[in-house]
Amino acid sequence: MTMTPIIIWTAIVALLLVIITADIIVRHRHSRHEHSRRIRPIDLATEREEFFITGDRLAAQEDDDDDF
Amino acid sequence: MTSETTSAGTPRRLCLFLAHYSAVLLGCGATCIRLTKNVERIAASFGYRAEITIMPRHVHLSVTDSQGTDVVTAIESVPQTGISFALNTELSRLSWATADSGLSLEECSRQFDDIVRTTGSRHSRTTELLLASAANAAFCRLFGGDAIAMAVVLAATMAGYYIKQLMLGRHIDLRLTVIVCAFVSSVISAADSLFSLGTTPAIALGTSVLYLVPGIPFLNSFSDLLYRHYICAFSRFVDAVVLTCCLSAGLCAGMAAMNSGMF
Repeated sequence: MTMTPIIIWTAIVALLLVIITADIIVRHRHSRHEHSRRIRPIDLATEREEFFITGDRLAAQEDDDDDF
Repeated sequence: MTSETTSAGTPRRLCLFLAHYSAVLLGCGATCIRLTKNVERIAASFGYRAEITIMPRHVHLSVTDSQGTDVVTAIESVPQTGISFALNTELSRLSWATADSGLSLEECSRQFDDIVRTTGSRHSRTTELLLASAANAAFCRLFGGDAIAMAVVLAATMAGYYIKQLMLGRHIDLRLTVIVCAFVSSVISAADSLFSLGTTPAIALGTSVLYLVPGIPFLNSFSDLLYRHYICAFSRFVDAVVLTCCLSAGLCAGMAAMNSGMF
Protein backbone atom coordinates (compact mmCIF):
# COMPACT_ATOMS: atom_id res chain seq x y z
CA MET A 1 0.00 0.00 0.00
CA THR A 2 2.85 2.39 0.82
CA MET A 3 4.29 1.74 -2.62
CA THR A 4 1.28 3.31 -4.34
CA PRO A 5 2.53 6.94 -4.33
CA ILE A 6 5.89 5.83 -5.72
CA ILE A 7 4.16 3.87 -8.49
CA ILE A 8 1.95 6.88 -9.36
CA TRP A 9 4.96 9.22 -9.28
CA THR A 10 6.97 6.91 -11.53
CA ALA A 11 4.06 6.47 -13.94
CA ILE A 12 3.53 10.23 -14.25
CA VAL A 13 7.22 10.94 -14.77
CA ALA A 14 7.40 8.18 -17.40
CA LEU A 15 4.32 9.58 -19.15
CA LEU A 16 5.84 13.06 -19.12
CA LEU A 17 9.06 11.78 -20.62
CA VAL A 18 7.12 10.03 -23.39
CA ILE A 19 5.12 13.19 -24.13
CA ILE A 20 8.18 15.43 -24.15
CA THR A 21 10.18 13.03 -26.33
CA ALA A 22 7.30 12.64 -28.80
CA ASP A 23 6.82 16.40 -28.93
CA ILE A 24 10.51 17.02 -29.58
CA ILE A 25 10.60 14.38 -32.32
CA VAL A 26 7.50 15.82 -33.98
CA ARG A 27 8.93 19.34 -33.85
CA HIS A 28 12.21 18.16 -35.29
CA ARG A 29 10.51 16.38 -38.17
CA HIS A 30 8.22 19.33 -38.75
CA SER A 31 11.13 21.75 -38.93
CA ARG A 32 12.89 19.52 -41.47
CA HIS A 33 9.80 19.13 -43.66
CA GLU A 34 8.13 22.44 -43.17
CA HIS A 35 6.05 22.36 -46.33
CA SER A 36 5.10 18.71 -46.43
CA ARG A 37 2.23 16.80 -44.88
CA ARG A 38 3.39 13.60 -43.23
CA ILE A 39 1.45 10.93 -41.44
CA ARG A 40 2.83 10.64 -37.95
CA PRO A 41 2.38 7.73 -35.57
CA ILE A 42 1.89 10.12 -32.64
CA ASP A 43 0.56 13.54 -33.59
CA LEU A 44 1.03 15.94 -30.70
CA ALA A 45 1.69 19.09 -32.66
CA THR A 46 0.18 20.98 -35.54
CA GLU A 47 1.43 23.59 -37.94
CA ARG A 48 0.10 26.44 -35.81
CA GLU A 49 0.65 25.04 -32.36
CA GLU A 50 3.63 27.31 -31.66
CA PHE A 51 1.79 30.41 -30.54
CA PHE A 52 -1.57 31.96 -31.04
CA ILE A 53 -0.82 35.46 -32.27
CA THR A 54 -2.51 37.81 -29.86
CA GLY A 55 -5.44 39.62 -31.41
CA ASP A 56 -4.95 38.07 -34.81
CA ARG A 57 -8.49 37.47 -35.99
CA LEU A 58 -7.32 35.77 -39.17
CA ALA A 59 -5.52 33.11 -37.12
CA ALA A 60 -8.69 32.47 -35.14
CA GLN A 61 -10.67 32.02 -38.36
CA GLU A 62 -8.10 29.59 -39.72
CA ASP A 63 -8.33 27.50 -36.58
CA ASP A 64 -12.10 27.43 -36.87
CA ASP A 65 -11.70 26.11 -40.39
CA ASP A 66 -9.58 23.27 -39.06
CA ASP A 67 -12.44 22.06 -36.91
CA PHE A 68 -14.96 21.85 -39.72
CA MET B 1 -13.32 71.53 -43.67
CA THR B 2 -15.68 68.76 -42.75
CA SER B 3 -14.91 65.77 -40.65
CA GLU B 4 -14.70 63.68 -43.83
CA THR B 5 -11.50 65.42 -44.96
CA THR B 6 -9.56 65.74 -41.73
CA SER B 7 -6.30 63.87 -41.17
CA ALA B 8 -8.19 61.25 -39.24
CA GLY B 9 -10.12 60.25 -42.33
CA THR B 10 -13.73 59.47 -41.76
CA PRO B 11 -15.01 59.09 -38.21
CA ARG B 12 -16.21 55.63 -39.23
CA ARG B 13 -12.67 54.42 -39.97
CA LEU B 14 -11.35 55.95 -36.77
CA CYS B 15 -14.15 54.33 -34.79
CA LEU B 16 -13.52 50.91 -36.31
CA PHE B 17 -9.80 51.21 -35.66
CA LEU B 18 -10.31 52.30 -32.07
CA ALA B 19 -12.83 49.52 -31.45
CA HIS B 20 -10.34 46.93 -32.68
CA TYR B 21 -7.48 48.60 -30.78
CA SER B 22 -9.44 48.63 -27.52
CA ALA B 23 -10.62 45.02 -27.94
CA VAL B 24 -7.04 43.80 -28.43
CA LEU B 25 -5.79 45.95 -25.54
CA LEU B 26 -8.49 44.59 -23.23
CA GLY B 27 -7.79 41.05 -24.41
CA CYS B 28 -4.08 41.29 -23.59
CA GLY B 29 -4.80 42.23 -19.98
CA ALA B 30 -4.99 46.03 -19.81
CA THR B 31 -6.95 47.62 -17.00
CA CYS B 32 -10.07 49.62 -17.81
CA ILE B 33 -8.46 52.93 -16.84
CA ARG B 34 -5.55 52.36 -19.21
CA LEU B 35 -7.95 51.39 -21.98
CA THR B 36 -10.06 54.52 -21.50
CA LYS B 37 -7.07 56.87 -21.38
CA ASN B 38 -5.37 55.36 -24.45
CA VAL B 39 -8.51 55.43 -26.58
CA GLU B 40 -9.37 58.98 -25.55
CA ARG B 41 -5.77 60.06 -26.25
CA ILE B 42 -5.81 58.66 -29.79
CA ALA B 43 -9.26 60.08 -30.53
CA ALA B 44 -8.26 63.52 -29.23
CA SER B 45 -5.13 63.54 -31.39
CA PHE B 46 -7.43 63.31 -34.45
CA GLY B 47 -9.78 65.98 -33.12
CA TYR B 48 -12.52 63.61 -32.02
CA ARG B 49 -14.04 62.56 -28.74
CA ALA B 50 -14.41 58.90 -27.78
CA GLU B 51 -16.82 57.38 -25.29
CA ILE B 52 -16.23 53.76 -24.39
CA THR B 53 -18.33 51.17 -22.62
CA ILE B 54 -16.24 48.25 -21.43
CA MET B 55 -17.95 44.93 -20.91
CA PRO B 56 -16.17 41.70 -19.94
CA ARG B 57 -16.24 40.26 -23.47
CA HIS B 58 -17.18 43.23 -25.65
CA VAL B 59 -16.15 46.82 -26.20
CA HIS B 60 -18.72 49.42 -27.23
CA LEU B 61 -17.19 52.59 -28.65
CA SER B 62 -18.65 55.86 -29.93
CA VAL B 63 -16.63 58.52 -31.75
CA THR B 64 -18.01 62.05 -31.94
CA ASP B 65 -16.68 65.08 -33.78
CA SER B 66 -16.02 68.37 -31.97
CA GLN B 67 -19.44 69.79 -32.89
CA GLY B 68 -21.23 66.68 -31.74
CA THR B 69 -23.01 66.34 -35.08
CA ASP B 70 -21.30 63.24 -36.44
CA VAL B 71 -21.47 60.16 -34.23
CA VAL B 72 -20.28 56.66 -35.13
CA THR B 73 -20.63 53.64 -32.88
CA ALA B 74 -18.95 50.24 -33.10
CA ILE B 75 -19.05 47.10 -30.99
CA GLU B 76 -16.16 44.64 -31.03
CA SER B 77 -15.72 41.27 -29.34
CA VAL B 78 -12.67 40.90 -27.13
CA PRO B 79 -10.35 38.25 -28.61
CA GLN B 80 -9.60 35.29 -26.35
CA THR B 81 -5.87 35.79 -26.05
CA GLY B 82 -3.29 35.38 -23.37
CA ILE B 83 -2.13 38.19 -21.12
CA SER B 84 0.86 40.01 -22.60
CA PHE B 85 2.59 42.88 -20.87
CA ALA B 86 4.75 43.46 -23.94
CA LEU B 87 1.72 43.95 -26.19
CA ASN B 88 0.09 46.08 -23.52
CA THR B 89 3.14 48.36 -23.37
CA GLU B 90 3.58 48.60 -27.14
CA LEU B 91 -0.05 49.52 -27.70
CA SER B 92 0.16 52.21 -25.02
CA ARG B 93 3.30 53.56 -26.68
CA LEU B 94 1.40 53.69 -29.96
CA SER B 95 -1.23 55.92 -28.36
CA TRP B 96 1.50 58.28 -27.13
CA ALA B 97 3.24 58.22 -30.52
CA THR B 98 -0.06 59.12 -32.19
CA ALA B 99 -0.62 62.00 -29.79
CA ASP B 100 2.97 63.32 -29.79
CA SER B 101 4.01 62.78 -33.41
CA GLY B 102 0.66 63.33 -35.08
CA LEU B 103 0.60 60.02 -36.95
CA SER B 104 -2.00 59.63 -39.67
CA LEU B 105 -4.72 57.05 -39.18
CA GLU B 106 -3.20 54.89 -41.92
CA GLU B 107 0.23 54.98 -40.26
CA CYS B 108 -1.29 54.35 -36.84
CA SER B 109 -3.24 51.39 -38.21
CA ARG B 110 -0.15 49.99 -39.94
CA GLN B 111 1.93 50.26 -36.76
CA PHE B 112 -0.89 48.60 -34.82
CA ASP B 113 -0.91 45.63 -37.21
CA ASP B 114 2.88 45.36 -36.93
CA ILE B 115 2.74 45.38 -33.14
CA VAL B 116 0.02 42.73 -32.98
CA ARG B 117 1.85 40.53 -35.49
CA THR B 118 5.31 40.72 -33.96
CA THR B 119 5.00 41.34 -30.24
CA GLY B 120 3.33 38.04 -29.29
CA SER B 121 6.36 35.97 -30.30
CA ARG B 122 9.06 38.13 -28.74
CA HIS B 123 10.22 35.40 -26.34
CA SER B 124 10.73 31.81 -27.33
CA ARG B 125 8.89 29.03 -25.57
CA THR B 126 12.14 27.74 -24.09
CA THR B 127 13.05 31.14 -22.66
CA GLU B 128 9.63 31.48 -21.07
CA LEU B 129 9.88 27.96 -19.66
CA LEU B 130 13.29 28.58 -18.11
CA LEU B 131 12.42 31.99 -16.69
CA ALA B 132 9.13 30.82 -15.16
CA SER B 133 10.86 27.81 -13.61
CA ALA B 134 13.69 29.92 -12.19
CA ALA B 135 11.18 32.41 -10.78
CA ASN B 136 9.22 29.64 -9.08
CA ALA B 137 12.40 28.16 -7.61
CA ALA B 138 13.23 31.62 -6.26
CA PHE B 139 9.76 31.77 -4.69
CA CYS B 140 10.54 28.47 -2.98
CA ARG B 141 13.67 30.01 -1.48
CA LEU B 142 11.72 33.08 -0.36
CA PHE B 143 9.31 30.84 1.53
CA GLY B 144 12.24 29.14 3.30
CA GLY B 145 12.89 26.13 1.08
CA ASP B 146 16.35 24.55 1.00
CA ALA B 147 18.48 23.97 -2.10
CA ILE B 148 17.00 20.54 -2.75
CA ALA B 149 13.49 21.91 -2.49
CA MET B 150 14.46 24.63 -4.98
CA ALA B 151 15.79 22.03 -7.41
CA VAL B 152 12.64 19.94 -7.03
CA VAL B 153 10.43 23.01 -7.58
CA LEU B 154 12.49 23.93 -10.64
CA ALA B 155 11.92 20.47 -12.14
CA ALA B 156 8.23 20.42 -11.17
CA THR B 157 7.64 23.86 -12.68
CA MET B 158 9.47 22.98 -15.87
CA ALA B 159 7.32 19.87 -16.31
CA GLY B 160 4.08 21.67 -15.47
CA TYR B 161 4.86 24.70 -17.60
CA TYR B 162 5.82 22.48 -20.53
CA ILE B 163 2.46 20.75 -20.30
CA LYS B 164 0.78 24.15 -20.05
CA GLN B 165 2.45 25.35 -23.25
CA LEU B 166 1.56 22.11 -24.98
CA MET B 167 -2.11 22.18 -23.96
CA LEU B 168 -2.64 25.90 -24.59
CA GLY B 169 -0.91 25.51 -27.95
CA ARG B 170 -3.60 22.96 -28.81
CA HIS B 171 -6.27 25.43 -27.61
CA ILE B 172 -7.39 23.19 -24.77
CA ASP B 173 -9.56 24.90 -22.17
CA LEU B 174 -7.51 27.01 -19.75
CA ARG B 175 -9.32 25.64 -16.67
CA LEU B 176 -8.59 22.03 -17.60
CA THR B 177 -5.01 23.01 -18.38
CA VAL B 178 -4.57 24.56 -14.93
CA ILE B 179 -5.97 21.46 -13.21
CA VAL B 180 -3.64 19.14 -15.14
CA CYS B 181 -0.58 21.36 -14.64
CA ALA B 182 -1.22 21.72 -10.90
CA PHE B 183 -1.59 17.96 -10.60
CA VAL B 184 1.61 17.23 -12.53
CA SER B 185 3.67 19.83 -10.66
CA SER B 186 2.43 18.74 -7.24
CA VAL B 187 3.08 15.07 -7.98
CA ILE B 188 6.62 15.75 -9.20
CA SER B 189 7.41 18.07 -6.30
CA ALA B 190 6.27 15.33 -3.90
CA ALA B 191 9.57 13.61 -4.74
CA ASP B 192 11.12 15.69 -1.96
CA SER B 193 9.08 13.92 0.71
CA LEU B 194 8.62 10.64 -1.15
CA PHE B 195 12.35 9.92 -1.40
CA SER B 196 13.34 11.91 1.73
CA LEU B 197 15.59 14.23 -0.26
CA GLY B 198 15.48 17.49 1.66
CA THR B 199 14.33 19.03 4.91
CA THR B 200 11.51 21.25 3.56
CA PRO B 201 9.23 19.00 1.47
CA ALA B 202 6.06 20.87 2.43
CA ILE B 203 7.47 24.14 1.07
CA ALA B 204 8.48 22.42 -2.16
CA LEU B 205 4.98 21.03 -2.55
CA GLY B 206 3.27 24.31 -1.77
CA THR B 207 5.41 26.50 -4.01
CA SER B 208 5.48 24.14 -6.98
CA VAL B 209 2.13 25.45 -8.27
CA LEU B 210 2.67 29.17 -7.64
CA TYR B 211 3.33 29.82 -11.33
CA LEU B 212 -0.35 29.02 -11.96
CA VAL B 213 -1.71 31.66 -9.58
CA PRO B 214 -3.70 34.18 -11.69
CA GLY B 215 -2.05 37.24 -10.18
CA ILE B 216 -2.67 39.65 -13.05
CA PRO B 217 -6.46 39.09 -13.17
CA PHE B 218 -6.60 39.64 -9.40
CA LEU B 219 -4.59 42.88 -9.66
CA ASN B 220 -6.58 44.13 -12.65
CA SER B 221 -9.78 43.34 -10.81
CA PHE B 222 -8.68 45.50 -7.89
CA SER B 223 -7.60 48.31 -10.23
CA ASP B 224 -10.99 48.26 -11.98
CA LEU B 225 -12.69 48.30 -8.60
CA LEU B 226 -10.78 51.46 -7.61
CA TYR B 227 -11.92 53.24 -10.78
CA ARG B 228 -15.52 52.04 -10.37
CA HIS B 229 -15.57 49.70 -13.36
CA TYR B 230 -17.51 47.26 -11.25
CA ILE B 231 -18.73 44.92 -13.99
CA CYS B 232 -15.23 44.33 -15.37
CA ALA B 233 -13.82 44.12 -11.84
CA PHE B 234 -16.34 41.44 -10.89
CA SER B 235 -15.82 39.56 -14.16
CA ARG B 236 -12.04 39.49 -13.75
CA PHE B 237 -12.37 38.52 -10.09
CA VAL B 238 -14.65 35.59 -10.92
CA ASP B 239 -12.27 34.48 -13.70
CA ALA B 240 -9.37 34.58 -11.25
CA VAL B 241 -11.32 32.74 -8.55
CA VAL B 242 -12.31 29.99 -11.01
CA LEU B 243 -8.67 29.53 -12.03
CA THR B 244 -7.61 29.47 -8.38
CA CYS B 245 -10.21 26.78 -7.69
CA CYS B 246 -8.87 24.76 -10.63
CA LEU B 247 -5.35 25.15 -9.27
CA SER B 248 -6.53 23.99 -5.84
CA ALA B 249 -8.32 21.00 -7.33
CA GLY B 250 -5.19 19.90 -9.18
CA LEU B 251 -3.02 20.45 -6.12
CA CYS B 252 -5.41 18.52 -3.85
CA ALA B 253 -5.57 15.66 -6.35
CA GLY B 254 -1.78 15.54 -6.48
CA MET B 255 -1.47 15.61 -2.70
CA ALA B 256 -4.10 12.88 -2.35
CA ALA B 257 -2.28 10.71 -4.91
CA MET B 258 1.00 11.18 -3.07
CA ASN B 259 -0.49 10.64 0.41
CA SER B 260 0.98 13.90 1.55
CA GLY B 261 -0.25 16.95 3.44
CA MET B 262 -3.80 17.09 4.66
CA PHE B 263 -4.87 13.77 3.14
